[in-house]
Amino acid sequence: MAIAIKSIPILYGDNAKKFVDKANAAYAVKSTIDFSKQIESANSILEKAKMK
Amino acid sequence: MGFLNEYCTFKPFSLELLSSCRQFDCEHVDLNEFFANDCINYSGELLGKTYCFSLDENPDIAICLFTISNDSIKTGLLPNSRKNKINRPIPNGKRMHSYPAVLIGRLGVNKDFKRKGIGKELMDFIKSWFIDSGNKTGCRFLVVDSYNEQEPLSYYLKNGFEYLFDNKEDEKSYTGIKTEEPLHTRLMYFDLIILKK
Repeated sequence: MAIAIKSIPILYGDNAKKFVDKANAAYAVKSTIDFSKQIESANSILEKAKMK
Repeated sequence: MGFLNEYCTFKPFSLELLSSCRQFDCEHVDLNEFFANDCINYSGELLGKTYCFSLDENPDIAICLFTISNDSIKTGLLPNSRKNKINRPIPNGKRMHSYPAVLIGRLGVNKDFKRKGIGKELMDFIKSWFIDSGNKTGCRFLVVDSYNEQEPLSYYLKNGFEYLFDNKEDEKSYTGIKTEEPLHTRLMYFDLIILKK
C-alpha cells in the first residue's frame, strides 16, 4: 500500500497570515508571466486527445 | 514543440490501459506501487483521477502518469480587523477563506524518458490546463504532496512551487504526525494567478 496522500490542513495564525500575504502579493502581479506558448501547447495536446 | 506534444497522446488512465501497458517504472517504489495497485481504486472511489501520456508509436508505453483531485487551501479563525485587511486585494464579493486548488497526489515520469525535459513540460501542461478558460471550475492553486526527498522537492521548487509550511515541525503538527516520526511528504503549492493566459 502506497503512502497515503495527505489532505491539506486548515492554516491558522502565522501560517495563515504568511500564506494570505503571499497570495495577495501574487495577486498584485496577476498575469505578469507570459504563459501563452505553454497554453498553446496544452491546447494542442487537448485537441489531439479530443478533450478540448 | 515538446516531446509530450509531438510524440504522445494524453488520456485518462483506465483499468483497460493499466492492463495493456507495460509496467510503469519511474524509479520510485511508492509511486510505482500506487500506479500499479492503487490508482484505479482511487479513481473508482472518486478520490482522485489519474491521467497518462502514452507514446504514439507504442501506446503500451506510458511516458508519465499523474493523479489529481479537487482540494482547497483554507485559512481560518482570523480576527475581523486582520481578516478585512488581508482580504482587501480580492475584488468585490470574491473575498474568501477557502481558495480552490487542485491537488497533485502523485506524478511520475517513466525512467527511460527522464532527462528530456518531460517533467517540466508535464508541469507546464498541468498549469495551463487549470488556467484554461474551458476549465469548468475555478482553480487558484496547484498543491502537491511531494515526497520529502531531494529529487522531487528540487523538481517542484524549480517549477515555482513553494512550501505550504516553511517549518517541518509545523507541518508535522498540522498534519497529525508525531515529532519523533519522519515526515514522508511535504505540502507545496503554486499560485496560478501570476500566469498570463
